[in-house]
Amino acid sequence: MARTAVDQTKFKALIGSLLYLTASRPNIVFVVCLSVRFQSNPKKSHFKAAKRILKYLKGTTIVGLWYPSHSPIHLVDYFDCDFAGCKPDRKSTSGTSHLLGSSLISWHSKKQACVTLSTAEAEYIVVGRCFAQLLCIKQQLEDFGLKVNQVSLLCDNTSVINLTKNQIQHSRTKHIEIHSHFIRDHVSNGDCEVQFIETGRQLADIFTKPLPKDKFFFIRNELGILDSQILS
Amino acid sequence: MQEKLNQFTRIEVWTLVPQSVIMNVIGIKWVFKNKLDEVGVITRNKARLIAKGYNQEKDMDYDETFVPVARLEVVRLLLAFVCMSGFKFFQMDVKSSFLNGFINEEVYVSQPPDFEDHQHTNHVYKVKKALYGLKQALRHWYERLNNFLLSHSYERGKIDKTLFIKKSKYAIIFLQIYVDDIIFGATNDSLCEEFVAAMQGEFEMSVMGELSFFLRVAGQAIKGCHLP
Repeated sequence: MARTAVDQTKFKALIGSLLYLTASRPNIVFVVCLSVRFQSNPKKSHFKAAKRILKYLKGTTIVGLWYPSHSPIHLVDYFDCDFAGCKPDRKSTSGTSHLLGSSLISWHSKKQACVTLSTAEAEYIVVGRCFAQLLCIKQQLEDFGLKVNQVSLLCDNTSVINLTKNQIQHSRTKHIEIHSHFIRDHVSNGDCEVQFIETGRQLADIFTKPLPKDKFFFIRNELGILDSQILS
Repeated sequence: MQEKLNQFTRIEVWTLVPQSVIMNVIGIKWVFKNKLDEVGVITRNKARLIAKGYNQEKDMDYDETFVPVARLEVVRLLLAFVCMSGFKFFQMDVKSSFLNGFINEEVYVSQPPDFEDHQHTNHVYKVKKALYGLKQALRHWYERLNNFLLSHSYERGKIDKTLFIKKSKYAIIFLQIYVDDIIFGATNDSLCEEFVAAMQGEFEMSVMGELSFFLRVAGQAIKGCHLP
């Protein structure tokens, strides 16, 4: 039964509405982006999964991003990836979250464009993209009159940290495209530093993989997506 | 509706001219809408006269139509920054904002349904200001606002072209523009007042007070900002 085809237009309309919601609901970005990949030939199982998102939304209508006042102004970035998470083509999913103090201002979840050979390589691609976004935020903050010198990018993969510091090309890394290497340049210039964070506290996980309930709620809270009733 | 038409004559949106064969006349119609507040209660009924822009022909009736619009990330960044720095933010709204944009092209529209001029039944209106529904309306509105702000020594943001900043020795004012909604705040109250006065002199404005409901964002200024 799960393989029965469903009305494509209906499915696309549902996805379209959900995509609109992702603009202010980072907690559903990953699942919505996952459903988007099944648009051209949706089956009953896909439709069921999409409707499950609606159920979640119904239960969390009062949950939203919370920007607290008077918190310290510093930029922190989390980035992560789900190595070969997409089963059909074995591409990885990258996820980043950018926090100013404790306010989540920007996030993204995207399937990578190329197939990677190792977790380190997949994360290395994310860190480049993550930093590009960060540069944009930094310049915007300069418009506001804030100068941010060094920012920390947090990841749970020590190989990546070493890759960004080590300028030497060797057999394991020489096939990586040049555009991924631009992070090295910035690290050596001292614009940013890639630091380690344990997997349990990796806040970009929510954008890269389906999570168990406890972890999902933990990250949701940490990102400042809170219930307005608790606040007031 | 009559109020709307009166406003049209007041700010000289159009003039009545005799119809000729070479004109590409664009139809217009009324659109009615109930405005809701953040809880979903109807606050007022609106009537808006719009042009059927899909009848416009490129190069004849319009030229370029692109316009910068604020990115949501930038809006979020600004909100986060505002909450942290703790200064007050206000929002305002320009009434019938598009009608403020001057139109350079020659565009003719038919007379509004049910409000025809009985003495000149075969006349059409030549549009001077950007009517809603015209493809170039948004661009002309942005152009007008942009020129106005730049002439008052505001600076455009480096990344986001809809952020305007004015710095004086001790104070700074930020304006974020999202089409016709403007949120602004300054470290100094006098700068805010000066801005409001300047805007009111130029456009028909309604100052809505402290930021509470911008792009579906509910905010409580003291405690922080909640985006449901």
